Amino acid sequence: MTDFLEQWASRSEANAKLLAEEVLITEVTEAIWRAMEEAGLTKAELAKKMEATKGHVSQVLNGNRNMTLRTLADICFALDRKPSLRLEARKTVDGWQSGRREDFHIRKTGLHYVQVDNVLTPSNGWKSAA
Amino acid sequence: MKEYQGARLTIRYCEQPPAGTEHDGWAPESWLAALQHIPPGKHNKIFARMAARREQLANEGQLRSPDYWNKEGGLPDGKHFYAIKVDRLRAYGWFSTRHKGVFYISHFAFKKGQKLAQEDTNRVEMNWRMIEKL
Repeated sequence: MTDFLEQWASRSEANAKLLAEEVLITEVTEAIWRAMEEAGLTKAELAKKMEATKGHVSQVLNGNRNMTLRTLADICFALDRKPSLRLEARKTVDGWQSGRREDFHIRKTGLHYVQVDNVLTPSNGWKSAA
Repeated sequence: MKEYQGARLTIRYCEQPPAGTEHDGWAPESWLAALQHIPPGKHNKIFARMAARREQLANEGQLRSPDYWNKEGGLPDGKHFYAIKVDRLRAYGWFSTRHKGVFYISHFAFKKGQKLAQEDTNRVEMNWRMIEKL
């Protein structure tokens, strides 16, 4: 079952594009915060390592300033991390998405699937899997 | 039931469309009320940001950025409720004990002051009691 936010996104290509932008910004920002937490670094300490002001780092992380690839590289360098990037097929309007098996998260649902070639089919019917 | 399914969490709304009505185009009343405080030209950005953050929460089970997420007041069981933040708009909710893997969004609100409003705390508590204490 979908929600009103997903319905908004599917209403036009412009909405879907805006959502795609915000999803990328959210994922990158959250990945940086995760790395900061794991390194035990505060925003001020990250700024110091980048030789930037705390205000600059704040603006980049809260989305008020566009993050350039160069800034992202500097943040990763300061965090002693190497970014990885993969361009995947996005979901189509009807909700299907193609891609590599490892790109998909499948929750443990108690359902059993039958695999024929590269197609997974719920063995106890689509209705119970929906 | 209107909800969003992620890899780790289901985001479920306490506000649901009336039974037996057409669900297409429905949005929670509190969302529509909160949007009234925001210039119409910014509505699409607010939609996109809220959608992106709730997607991240649903897929990862948490939000880390303090610009996206805040621990708010206490609940009667000693746990806390939280807010997904988009500018001054908030989605208040809690991780359900009764329904494992569900994050309930109690309601949306436009935050007028610095502090958490008592009416928002009251509304979250009322919804929490209805869902968790049935």
